[in-house]
Amino acid sequence: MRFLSYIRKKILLVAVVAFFAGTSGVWAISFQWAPLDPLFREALADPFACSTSFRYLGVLDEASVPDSVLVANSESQQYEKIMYDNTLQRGYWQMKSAVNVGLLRVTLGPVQAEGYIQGGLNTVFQKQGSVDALGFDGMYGAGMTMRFFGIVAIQAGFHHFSGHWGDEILADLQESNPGLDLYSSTSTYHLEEYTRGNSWLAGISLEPVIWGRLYFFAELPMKKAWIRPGIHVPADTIKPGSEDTNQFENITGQEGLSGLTAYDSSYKAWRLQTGLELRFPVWKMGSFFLAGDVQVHQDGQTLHQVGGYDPDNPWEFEYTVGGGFEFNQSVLGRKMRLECYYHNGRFPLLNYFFQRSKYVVMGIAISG
Amino acid sequence: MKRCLGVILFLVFLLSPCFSTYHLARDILSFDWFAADALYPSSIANPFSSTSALNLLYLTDGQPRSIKYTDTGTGKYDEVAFLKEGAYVDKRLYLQLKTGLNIGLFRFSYRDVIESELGFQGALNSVFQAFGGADNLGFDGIFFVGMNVRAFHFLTMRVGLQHYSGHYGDETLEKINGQEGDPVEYTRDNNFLFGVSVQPASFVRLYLDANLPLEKSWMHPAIHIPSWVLKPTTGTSLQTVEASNENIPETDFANSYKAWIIDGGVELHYPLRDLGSLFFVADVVANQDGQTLHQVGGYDPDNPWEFEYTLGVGLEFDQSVGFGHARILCSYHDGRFPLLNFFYQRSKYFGVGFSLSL
Repeated sequence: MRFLSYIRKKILLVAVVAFFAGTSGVWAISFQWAPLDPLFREALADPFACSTSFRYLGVLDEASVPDSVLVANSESQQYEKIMYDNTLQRGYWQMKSAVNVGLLRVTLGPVQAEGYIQGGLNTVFQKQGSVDALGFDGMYGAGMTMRFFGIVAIQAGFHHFSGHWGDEILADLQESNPGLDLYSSTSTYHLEEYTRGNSWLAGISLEPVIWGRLYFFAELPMKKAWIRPGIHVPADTIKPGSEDTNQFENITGQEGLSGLTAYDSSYKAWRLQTGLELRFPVWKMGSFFLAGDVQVHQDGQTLHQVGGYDPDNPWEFEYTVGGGFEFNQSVLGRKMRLECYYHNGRFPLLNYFFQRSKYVVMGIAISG
Repeated sequence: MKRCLGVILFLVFLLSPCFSTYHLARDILSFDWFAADALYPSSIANPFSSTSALNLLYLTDGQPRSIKYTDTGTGKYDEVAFLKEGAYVDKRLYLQLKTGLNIGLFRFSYRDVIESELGFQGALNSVFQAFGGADNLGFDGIFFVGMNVRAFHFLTMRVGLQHYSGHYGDETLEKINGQEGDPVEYTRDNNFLFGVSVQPASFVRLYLDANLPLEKSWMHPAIHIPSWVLKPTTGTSLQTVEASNENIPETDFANSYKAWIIDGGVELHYPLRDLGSLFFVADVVANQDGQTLHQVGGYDPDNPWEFEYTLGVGLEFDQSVGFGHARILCSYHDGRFPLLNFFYQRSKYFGVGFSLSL
């Protein structure tokens, strides 16, 4: 049996080599060290896409205003909001600086393959007053992309999300709440953060026609991963660097929470994302585009509260729709856009995952 | 909101029919609305240039272990440790993540001899500890907007506004408990910037940038603010206002003190067939605010300016598709820690990582 298996593997290897050798007579092989513009392009409407943008953000109602941080209170054994700003500001600036580049691209006729690396920093500032920074996000990833016949691109790799509170709103928090103790060893409060370090990410992009694109992503935290807040951690996640330290108990313990029961095995903290992009060329100058993006978070089943998880709770949905004008018609290649989107979902800073917001963003964006 | 939306839509309709390369007056003139590679290149070596980078830093000296606080009641800047006692004292690895871009808008070209554009550079910069909880030390915002002009593909000049804004990392501030006062921050909002870049041959570039605070601008810390800088909203002396906010005495600066930042450098490339080029880069920054020693009462006009040195070597990959440059960069830095708010922290480090100019 082992001999037959050996023979089968050899035959398969020869067949693969013969295929590529044969096709190379028809299809030229080319190689690029660093083509930069990636085969798998960033989603236009995704608030956390690795595109560079500078946009005005206006929230549409008072309930959408980000004015509080989320803390775990070890005394009440609950997550609580603490307000840092009572001015109900409606206007913000969002700045995102990010890249997504392709590396080591091999092209064999209609088949292309490359590595990719992406990363970015995202921040939102208040528009009025001291222009305080609400927070900063770091995101990065790397992996492999294959593209077939210019129609289908598939991608797989890892992805990292890390939210950070803005130093200036932390100062506002202390001013608004004199005596608030967040950091001492006797403090009952623990600032919550949003971390996914790291997740597996897989995506597929379909472009059956030049004017239309459909994509889908699935993101799943690794078995060994840092995940915050504690109530988002799946039951079987292990603390990185250890063999069997349960991450749910570890992180909730760091937050001063105790006696919590880990969730059932159906809870994995999935993040699913899909979107549609339509382009309408205008002579040779560029394209009007319409874009929609939907994200689904399984961690929404926790209601972002201690004891809030129920497997019958719905996943949390986010919707983004909009459009604009893109100043470049090449399929690949860097493009600048004037764009405007309506968003109904989380405020676009990772640590504000608990803050549902309806807002409009408009401004300039650049991405490959 | 509706007005902003209207303006955006108006711009889209106004610009879209025109968005192309225009050849005018029998091809003597050409015009582009958007140029992905700006006329004035970003410095490869400068830690705060508008390149994208993922660098692993190995500090041989000057690990950041404390933050300066002001308004503590002592009338000076107090150092407050965020890494207490012996914690991580032998840990020297840090990770710098910087994402930036450098583009041109509204580019005019006369016979490809004289070119001009509205230049925009922007970057967000961050450094994390590569030990412990990988805690974040801070974030910086860095922007330039102004005019770029290039002549004969040889001489490029730029003039415009340069913005620097430092922010401390939340995970660093979390480690400081019950400290009175506020952390000292570094802000230049905005500087006037003038730069010259000379490329006498394809393999060599020299550049020199000079930064000077605008007469009306926001600056931090108070100890750096020249006497002639005015608060933008009221026109009063900014140093008086900020010294009061920081609860420190004002500094009696000499007329020669302007808080200049002078940055010069050289970039040399040696082509490698089918691959790209090997390069060697050097960058020197001279900070006049170093004359203050970053301490209340530290200013003396005879104090030297503070110098920073960066050397780098690497491999830049050739581009046959797209634009911009991808590099592997190894560098050595002797100067300030590469986060604006840690301007008072001298460090020496080796860096290795990816660098992208987009």
